[in-house]
Amino acid sequence: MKKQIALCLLIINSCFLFAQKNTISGYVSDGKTQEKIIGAIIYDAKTKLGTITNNFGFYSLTLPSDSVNLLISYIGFTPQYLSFLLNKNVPLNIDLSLSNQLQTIEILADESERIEERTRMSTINIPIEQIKKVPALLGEVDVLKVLQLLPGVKSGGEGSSGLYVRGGGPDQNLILLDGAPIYNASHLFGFFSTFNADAIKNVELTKGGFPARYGGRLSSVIDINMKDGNMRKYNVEGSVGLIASKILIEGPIWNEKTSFLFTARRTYLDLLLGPIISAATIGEGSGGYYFYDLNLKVNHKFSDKDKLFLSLYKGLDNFYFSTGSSFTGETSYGGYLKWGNAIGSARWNHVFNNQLFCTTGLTYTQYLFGLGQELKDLKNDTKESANYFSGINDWAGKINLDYMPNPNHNVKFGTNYIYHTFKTGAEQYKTSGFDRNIDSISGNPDIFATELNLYAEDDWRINPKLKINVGIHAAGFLVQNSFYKSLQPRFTGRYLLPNNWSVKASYASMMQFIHLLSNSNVGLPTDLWVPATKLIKPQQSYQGAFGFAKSFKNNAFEFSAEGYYKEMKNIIDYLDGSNFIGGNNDWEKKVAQGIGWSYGAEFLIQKKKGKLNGWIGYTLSWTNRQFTQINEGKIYPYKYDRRHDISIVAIYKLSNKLDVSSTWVYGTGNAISLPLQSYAAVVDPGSYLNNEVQYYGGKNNYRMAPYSRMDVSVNKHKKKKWGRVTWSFGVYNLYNRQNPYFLYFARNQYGVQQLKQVSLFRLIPSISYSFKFDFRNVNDIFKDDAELEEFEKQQQ
Amino acid sequence: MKKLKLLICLFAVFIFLSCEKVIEAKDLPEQDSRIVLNSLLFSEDLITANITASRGILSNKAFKDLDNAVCQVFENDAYLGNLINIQNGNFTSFFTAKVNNKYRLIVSASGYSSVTATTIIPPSVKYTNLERYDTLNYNYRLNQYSPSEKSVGGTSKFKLKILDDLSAKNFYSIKPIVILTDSLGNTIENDGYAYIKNNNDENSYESTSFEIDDLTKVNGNQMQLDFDVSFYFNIPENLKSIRVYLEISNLSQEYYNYKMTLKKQAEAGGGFFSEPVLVYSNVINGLGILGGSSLTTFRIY
Repeated sequence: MKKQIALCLLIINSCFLFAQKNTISGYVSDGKTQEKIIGAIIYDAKTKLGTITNNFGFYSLTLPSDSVNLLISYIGFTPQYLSFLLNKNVPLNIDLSLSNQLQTIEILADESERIEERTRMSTINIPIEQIKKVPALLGEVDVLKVLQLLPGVKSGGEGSSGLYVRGGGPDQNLILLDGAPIYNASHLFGFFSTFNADAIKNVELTKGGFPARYGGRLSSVIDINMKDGNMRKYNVEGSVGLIASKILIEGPIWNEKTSFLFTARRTYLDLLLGPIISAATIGEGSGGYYFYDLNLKVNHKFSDKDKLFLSLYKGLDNFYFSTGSSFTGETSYGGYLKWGNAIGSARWNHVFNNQLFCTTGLTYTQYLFGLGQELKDLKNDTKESANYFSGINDWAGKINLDYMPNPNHNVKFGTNYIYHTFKTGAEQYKTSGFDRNIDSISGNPDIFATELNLYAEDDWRINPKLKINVGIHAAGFLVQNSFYKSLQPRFTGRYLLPNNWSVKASYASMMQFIHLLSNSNVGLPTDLWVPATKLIKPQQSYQGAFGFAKSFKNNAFEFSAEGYYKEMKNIIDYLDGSNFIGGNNDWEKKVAQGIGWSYGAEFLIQKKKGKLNGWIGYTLSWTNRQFTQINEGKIYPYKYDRRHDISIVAIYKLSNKLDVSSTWVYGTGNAISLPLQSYAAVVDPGSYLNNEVQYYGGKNNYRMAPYSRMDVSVNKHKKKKWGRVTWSFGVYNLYNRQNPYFLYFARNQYGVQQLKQVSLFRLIPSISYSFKFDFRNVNDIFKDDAELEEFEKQQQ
Repeated sequence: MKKLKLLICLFAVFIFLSCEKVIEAKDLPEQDSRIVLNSLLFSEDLITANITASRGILSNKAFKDLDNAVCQVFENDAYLGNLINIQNGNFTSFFTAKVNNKYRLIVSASGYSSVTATTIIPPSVKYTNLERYDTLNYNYRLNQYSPSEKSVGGTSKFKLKILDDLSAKNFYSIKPIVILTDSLGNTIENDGYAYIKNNNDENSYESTSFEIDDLTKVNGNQMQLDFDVSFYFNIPENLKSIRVYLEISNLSQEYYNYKMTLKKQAEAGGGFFSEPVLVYSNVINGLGILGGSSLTTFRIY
């Protein structure tokens, strides 16, 4: 009886204790700019319970009513320690200050969540400051190309910003900019990505073990968050490079309430070539190429509970020419090729209570491709023009809720609805000045589709050693009176082992309702997004991964090893002989649906602390495809099946004024279809067919030479009275290796058949100049490291 | 500023100049030369074959004729005999192929792995009607470039209805043939050929033949094909008669696959923007085709 009473008391006591909990909640910000910090840790040393901030810098931590010893930390910032008695719900906004403003390159690691403790696997977050230090082609910092240096991620080809994640295609990456998808994330035929690194706050890549909140793509999620804009002071920075210049302006509109951020980038190849072309055509011809990006973000804080974010992005590539009349006498001929993305998003954050955080958003995404030509008869004043347009428009609405009832649960749930308009190719022909003029439009009609997603997930700390993230994603897609639906279970889990080791596992099922009709050789803007239709089914994948993680040397080093197996169904590929050029009418007849699978192991060791930081990544993988109608139904290696892929990134800070960085990559050559023999054919007399057959032996039967390249860059920083300047010098492909881009057969001057390899970029030096205005008093600029005296001496 | 512009221009030229290098044949994977067996068997026609060897893709030599090859013929798995070498890799026999029979050819040659291939001669096409609905525009005219030469040509439209055998998969080929004869009744060699265009397929263009499988049916087992036949050539001096025929063939599946992939490979042309095409072969251990066909011929002019 005594035992029973004791048990009852214990239960009552437990209930009482449960009731005696209070919540600390708020935002973690950069104290200098009020930029919200994503992924900051809020940890109670007493209970050893903690949480991290979400994508809007919000956190909620429910703890027993008692004294708490909070540690709030984030890499690169000085940790804050707070001790107080928690006897009621506490709203607590925390400002962190940079650990050393001049040492942004030195990524402090003590404050970051240890890799072995993270539930998620196959996820990598690279600090934007580190991304900016990695050597880049022509000095243009490129977020996507830095992601290519991570294990499991492959580039499409020389200079390409395309991503091929764990055997997936470039269409299988969900690239989100402030929550809105970007369909074509490249400029200049794939050599540069659309993201201006100066505008970016955070980049996170997920290759597998997808949380339930993500859906719609099979292979990866690249979640990019733009900076919010400095709430406290104006800031102007920019750079001048070999091919482009860019500028960033940010600052408060209404102090501590509203801020803005504006960035712009433009190339100037056209400005340089313009005079040359004009001179060559006696002033009548013109032509050129440029691309630009514009980002604008405004955020307004109504109160601690309500915030509004407006983001706009506009990017365009334009290639154009006009002959004038000098070549053709009385006619002039011109044409253009242009493509670009436009994105708008409005997000409203509302804190219902200290445990429930809500984001409601409306986003618009547009990708348009246009191609046209115009013939003018100057004598008769007539004009004929032909244009081709394709693209995709999305309107989306979403509601995401974060519910944090206690430190053992972080529940996310929500829904989103997308209305897609697929413009799968329309031709316009127009004349003017004739007796009877024509204005006709033909081609494929627009296809409309609606997509609905629902999800729920819980990051559940079962006990101090075992933590899982379990969820479900439901999706439905309605197109052309066909309805596709799927229920996608998601799971990731980690179990802590002794000596800072943990074992992790994940499983994710994904469905993708859109396909990309893409040239498999280069990332041309002619790539066409098309929906699943009655004939073409949605793509599906099932991915499982298992791995180990460990941090060591006081969290200065992180190590992870993962094995994965991914199976894909209903992926599409062009049928043998299909030509990508010449319109996409009847595209459904040009493609086949089949299966693909990829498996392998990925190893990553990262150094995140000290003067030297960077990583070494290695991937061993196999990727295959099988289509009934391609390669006689036999299995063949995917073009980007790369057995070995190694990347080394090193960033070394010599002093506050000088840092150097280098990357080295090596990868097995791409698989291509190359005829190795020829033989006599049977053809009808009079036929246009060759009497010779080229024998391949199978699709993607030949491996091009391995790809290898080393890049280096040196950044020299100097303080000025008005701010800071950085000169960046770089060399792309330092050892001038001729990496294969494509192969082709040709006969030389003696008629001898030869196989030739084309390489795109050999050794390329680059130089760029960056500046950052500082609107503080000159004494404040140097106050941080007492360099003013030295500076003044130098000035004298 | 001028110097900066010049510097940037130089960089731009430097960057966008791609470079090439020749890959030596020794850098390509070793590929043993294989026996190439090309044999098309027509019902009630002599069994013949052409036997050569494949060559490396960078080779500039002519295909090697394997006149010393031994080619055994089996009919319904019973040994029928060997083919007799004529010359230039050509082989013939005294036995004819018969409808619905299975033929297997085994070829061996010194220095090569033996190859084997099998096919069945399909039955001839069942048709219901061949209708010409546009008069053959048949004109003599002066040749534009050589007024002394006269040329002839024209186009006509046809509709062909075929009764498809539902119990089997069938593959059809429609091919026009022009035969010119002199006053002695001898066939005149000429450079002109007849061409055909399938009007059921909007992507079709003029070719020496077109092939179609039996998936396109309009009513039960009835297929209706709509096509144009055209020809154009210079008129020989001793021309007596012009006859135009239409060959309607029922192909074995192997032959159909071969013809279709051969066409696709030619159309793709190894272009940078095209997926390469693997030409179908049913020759085990070797290359080429052993195909079967039954012809039905109609005179259309």
